[in-house]
Amino acid sequence: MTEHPNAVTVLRSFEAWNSGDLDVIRGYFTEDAILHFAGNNAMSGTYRGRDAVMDALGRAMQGWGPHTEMEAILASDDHVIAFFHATAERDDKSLDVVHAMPIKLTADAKLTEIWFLANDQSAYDQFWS
Amino acid sequence: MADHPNVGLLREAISTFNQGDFDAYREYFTEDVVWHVGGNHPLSGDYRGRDAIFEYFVRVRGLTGGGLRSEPQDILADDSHGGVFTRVTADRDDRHLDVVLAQAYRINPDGKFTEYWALADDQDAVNAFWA
Repeated sequence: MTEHPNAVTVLRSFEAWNSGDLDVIRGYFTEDAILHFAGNNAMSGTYRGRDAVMDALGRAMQGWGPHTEMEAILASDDHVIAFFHATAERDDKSLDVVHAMPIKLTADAKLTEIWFLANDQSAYDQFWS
Repeated sequence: MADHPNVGLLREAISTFNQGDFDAYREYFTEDVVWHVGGNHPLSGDYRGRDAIFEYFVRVRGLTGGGLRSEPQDILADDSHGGVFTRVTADRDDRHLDVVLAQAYRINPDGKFTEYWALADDQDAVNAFWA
């Protein structure tokens, strides 16, 4: 089956994330993109606008440098849901969680709204605190 | 392209939820299902096991005088995963909730939900509604 263009955008963004290429990711976001970072930790909150989103992702990458591994990707004309495994080490902490990541995309396959939610929120909060 | 069977399963489950038939709704879950509710409000957190989840539903129903109403806008699925973008409305005393919830499901080969995540587009509105 040919990948849906929305799935392609998300897969390429994840590849870019794993290789640390934030500029590539930036190109996939709309100007007014929104990022919801769940939980109760230093990263939690809603980031509005591409600059704020990229700022948050930059911080996440620095503190985290996480490796992501795609488990499944579902795509429709308006949405993608990515299920991925994230692992990271920071100082003496390690992280190993599964994220469900719902994404809203525009008609030209740009990312316009993203939610992060881990399956083990307390482990996730602890890692980020 | 025909919808994946799990799209139909999710649509059916949500319609059962809307009818408030919890006995029928229970059948969609495994015993050891895990349910992740995002946000920072008294109902946020991880619920482990079907009983814990249904206690949560009963609480929600009690607080909202009948429960939430869920109108799916988009349903996605493969053999072992599902996703639903759904408009959720509810009333609680003089508070009104109207948000889009992004839901993710893990589905086992028997067509039962084993794990669930939910997050709202306007988390502040959800937090205020449950506060």
